[in-house]
Amino acid sequence: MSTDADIDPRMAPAIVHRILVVEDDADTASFLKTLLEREKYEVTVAKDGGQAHSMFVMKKPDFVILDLILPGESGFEVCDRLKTLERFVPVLILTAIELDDAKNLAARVGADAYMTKPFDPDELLLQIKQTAQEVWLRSRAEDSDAADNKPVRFACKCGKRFKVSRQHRGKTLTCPNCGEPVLVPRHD
Amino acid sequence: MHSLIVQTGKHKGKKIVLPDKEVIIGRDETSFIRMTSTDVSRQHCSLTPTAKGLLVRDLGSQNGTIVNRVRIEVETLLQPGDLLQIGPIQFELAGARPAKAAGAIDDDIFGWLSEGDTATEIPNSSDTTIVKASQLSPAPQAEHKTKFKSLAEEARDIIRRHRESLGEK
Repeated sequence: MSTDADIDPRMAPAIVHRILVVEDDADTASFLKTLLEREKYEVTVAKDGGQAHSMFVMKKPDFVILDLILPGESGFEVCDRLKTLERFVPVLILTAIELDDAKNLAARVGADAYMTKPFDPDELLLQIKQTAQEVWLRSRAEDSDAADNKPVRFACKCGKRFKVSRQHRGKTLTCPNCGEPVLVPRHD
Repeated sequence: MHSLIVQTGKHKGKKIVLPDKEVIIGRDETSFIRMTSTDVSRQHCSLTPTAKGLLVRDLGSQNGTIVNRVRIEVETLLQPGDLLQIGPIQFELAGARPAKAAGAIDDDIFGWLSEGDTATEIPNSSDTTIVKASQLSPAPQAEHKTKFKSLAEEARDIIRRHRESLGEK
């Protein structure tokens, strides 16, 4: 078990050490690895969703850079899975897809930032720091909300509304009204 | 075997036993439950018995099929106690409601629901009167979900459109 994960986030500043890069293109992955290692980040590369999931569990990265077009499972699904495991590990989408629908879906599966390729390396490095900071601040804000015990409110597509405890964010429940699965939203 | 209990009009209280196959409700003479109101489409909706409950599918009706006071956009599973409104008539799916709550969702998940939000409240609460502006934000998400069956399908659609847009350039 990692001891880092046990550190109270309120005590730790948003400093990124380990980055997981999920990228199937070898050239891009190699470029990112070199760029990030030069900045003293510890980098792990995964080529698909399966590897990303294993690396995420084993290496416990504190930041994820995720491509959307991957062999097999898409980056959207990978993001969804990773965010279900760890809501406050920032995920930055780095993709060639510029469609607004892609940005919306990325936000819905919990992605914290979205950058399109080709990218400016300096901009990426800045974005990593900014995103980590934002997610860290959000985790603190949610902590204080949690202290107030504010429930999460959301609705099923059938119209049935729910109010559940914050600890269930990112989980799926079965709507008692229509029997369809409903995701407890990760963000308000 | 499912049955519907008429909740409104002169047939109020009447129980309609549904066969163990898909049936159509509508104005058409061939409908299993035939309704003469012009608010009802010729083939209004279909009811299919499944192991999990009674599946309601709107067949493109003019005025919609309403389940628990909400117009359905997708196939919807009815559980005992659920209300089905077609034109002027409201039906209730017969059966014991508490059994539904225990069967439909895990005990664990059921425990998540805060007091006052449990399924047993559905028939008493009108959705139109309770919705507040602050609760409307999930609506766009719901729209997306009705178009796609799963996240994977929506993701594939986006990637396909991205590739098509590259092809056009």
